Amino acid sequence: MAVVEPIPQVLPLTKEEASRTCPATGLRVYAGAQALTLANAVAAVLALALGGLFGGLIGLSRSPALEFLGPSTYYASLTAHGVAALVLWPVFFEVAAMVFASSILLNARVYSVALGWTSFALMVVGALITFVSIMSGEATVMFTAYPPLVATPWFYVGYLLFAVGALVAIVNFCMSIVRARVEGVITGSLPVITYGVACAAILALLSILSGLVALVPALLYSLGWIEGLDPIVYRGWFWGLGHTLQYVNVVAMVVAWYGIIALAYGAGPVNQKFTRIAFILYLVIALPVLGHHFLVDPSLGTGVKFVGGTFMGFALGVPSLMHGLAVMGGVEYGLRRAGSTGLFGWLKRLDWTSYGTAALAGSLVIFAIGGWSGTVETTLPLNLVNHNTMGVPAHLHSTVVGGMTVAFMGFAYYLVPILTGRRLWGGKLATVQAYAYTLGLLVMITGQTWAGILGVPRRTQSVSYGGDVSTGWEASMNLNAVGAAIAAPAGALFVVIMVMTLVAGKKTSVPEELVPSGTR
Amino acid sequence: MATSESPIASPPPGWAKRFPRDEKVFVVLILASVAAMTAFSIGWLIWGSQNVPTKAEIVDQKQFAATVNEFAKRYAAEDGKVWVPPGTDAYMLAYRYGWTPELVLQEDERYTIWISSADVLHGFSIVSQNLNLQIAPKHGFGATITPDAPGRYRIVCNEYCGLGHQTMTTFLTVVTAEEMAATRATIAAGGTDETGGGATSGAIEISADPDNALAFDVSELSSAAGTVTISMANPSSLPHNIAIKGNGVDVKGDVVGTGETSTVTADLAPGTYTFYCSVPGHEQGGMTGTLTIR
Amino acid sequence: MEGRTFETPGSFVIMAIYLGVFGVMWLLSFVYLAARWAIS
Repeated sequence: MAVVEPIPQVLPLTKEEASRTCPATGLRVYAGAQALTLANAVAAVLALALGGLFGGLIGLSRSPALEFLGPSTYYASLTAHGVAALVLWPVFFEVAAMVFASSILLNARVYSVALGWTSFALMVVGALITFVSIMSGEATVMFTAYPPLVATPWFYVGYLLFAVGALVAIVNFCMSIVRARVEGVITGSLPVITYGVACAAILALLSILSGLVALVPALLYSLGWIEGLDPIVYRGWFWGLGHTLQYVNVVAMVVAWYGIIALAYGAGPVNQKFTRIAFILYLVIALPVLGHHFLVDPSLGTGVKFVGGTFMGFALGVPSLMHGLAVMGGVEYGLRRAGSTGLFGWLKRLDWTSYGTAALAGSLVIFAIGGWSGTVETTLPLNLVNHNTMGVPAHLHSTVVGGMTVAFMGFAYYLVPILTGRRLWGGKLATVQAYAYTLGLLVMITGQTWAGILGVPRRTQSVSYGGDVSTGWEASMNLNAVGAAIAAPAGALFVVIMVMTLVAGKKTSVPEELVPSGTR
Repeated sequence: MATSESPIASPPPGWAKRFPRDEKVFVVLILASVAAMTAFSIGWLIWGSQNVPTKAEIVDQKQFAATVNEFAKRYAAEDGKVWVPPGTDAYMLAYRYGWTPELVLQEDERYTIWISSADVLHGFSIVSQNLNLQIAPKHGFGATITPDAPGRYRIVCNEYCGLGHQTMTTFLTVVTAEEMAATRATIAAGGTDETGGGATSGAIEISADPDNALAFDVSELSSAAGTVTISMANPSSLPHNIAIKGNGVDVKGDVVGTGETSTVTADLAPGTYTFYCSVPGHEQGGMTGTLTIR
Repeated sequence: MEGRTFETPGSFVIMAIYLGVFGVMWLLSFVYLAARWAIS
């Protein structure tokens, strides 16, 4: 249990804001902060529901045995899946984490609740506009929207509004921390969670700006105000910092890892200095990383591709590996101090029926697989046998879904009870959810990896090519569909648990009910 | 004495001094791995036989298409495919939704294939070899490949390019030296001028009237017999397509909007055909012309 | 206390094994690549 810092009245409060003390963590929770965090978290879960729905549909449809979506429906669904699952879900959740880490976690108020709601409104309106435009069939361009492929202007308008909303949230995040310092609410070093979120926020700020530079000309092109748009230039701006934007997701995932071990096991990073250096390394290396997306493009020279893509890609593995050790080591350290002996005795002390343990283990294992596939794909010559094959979805589902989404789910299982004062609905159902989701993803990723090795193309509605499909293609894509058939309902179960907790979770102030321990 | 520091609270002061041995050793291991992988990768770039092509040029789309056309006519054989003699550069154009021409290469020979796109981004993928390249309009990519066994190799597009993406496939055939020599002899004997009896993969580009008049920019087209592809760019704000009819042929391309291209492909014997726009009312309004096949 | 022994040997072993498997799989990818047609 954390120590509650007394809040000195250094500056007069301009407005009385209601607050309460969280019974589980002892944190001071202000009303504005709680509402904003919850709002963004709810929006995130709804986005995940949509992303998962379309993901399940396209995963099943790509099974040669099923193939029930025609081209225009399939490609529109794929676009919807990409936007909802890769843009809306992570960013809404990360904004929720930003609000939490800059206010509640610091026993502080949000810098400007009005600004927070403005950011939320922009993001919700932007998301709706883009989503509706995709559903109308006028924006079947994938979430990447490479020109000369073009969508209705509304698609880009929504994207831009959403991006601006996220930028406003980042400003609010920074100002909240500044204000907490100025008012003396926090002294000493930032908690590691806030530190990590700050790294994510900096990466997000710069990569969203780069994305805007790509999207604005695309909007002008869609409106007909400019003529040709070189897709290589667009790709340069979109993916120039586009993988950096993915690292916002990685950093947020790592933050969620620390959040789970803190709340489930009362454990911290095995070493503060090690963890903080690892977070800073993400900033230093993820900012200049570019080009795993350009490795087989007819544009950049080999030197730039190698240093910017391959070498920086290898270097990016360093902080992730460090955090892997820090997170597991933190848990092990605490359990050894509690008496575990032997090399792996501490693993037996973990409660494997706890949803925190299930989510953390699933996330660590699948992200580890993703780290391997990413390193293979970022290696310049190896990209020849990977680019645009199913190997790419295999990698990104390992990292973004198996890694980030599972970690966010686990973190949400603790965060939402804290924010709402309600016990998580369903009890051990959450544990079943986490394990089932992990299993489904493992099957799906195996199918996708196998398909990638066989050269099956990604983003393709059907690979029968008139009935002349190569052997092994059917089997691998059928396996992918089996995985999707397990994962999609398990993902839906998460949404159900979240909604039910919000509306029907038992109100309680017993710490063990809000934040149940993850050790025996 | 050292406590498991909680990430919830601010860490206790003095945290910057501790750095346990596990972490130190692990960092050394990771850094050694990164160094080893970097060294190995650089070694592969220098001595490996499979590396990312480096020949790339900015190209003018119309000029590249013309070059592809010329190349195809020069080396086309009776079967409609383009048989590329060893030592000659080959050309391919990606478009929505297909590849032109269909190449035949000789085994164990080094060929540079220059590839570009007529419209949007495409992905060139020789699936059984799992070799994949990004193809962009206005950029030519020169891949030097040495096929090592005769056979028929499927090529697909693996960069989403539109609603017909999943139909965008062709083949690359690899033959023995004897087969290549035999076919080249028949090409030489049959003549390689434009009116030759051999089929060619003719790629014709036209445009709809940009000021929304119901017309194309040409009213007469001609091509050699064989596989003919007409690509119609649509700079207007009306929906249009390109279609061919006559002599038992009746094919229509996709109806496309502003800035897009409609494509129709047909195997045509010598004769007179009509090319037109099949959007209701457009042909009657003037969007039609004569296609003469020699 | 810090100098001689590992504080968290279990985690260290897990991560070291992962790093080893990771390296082997990466190298195997080059074997796969080598079996393709020569391209440059």
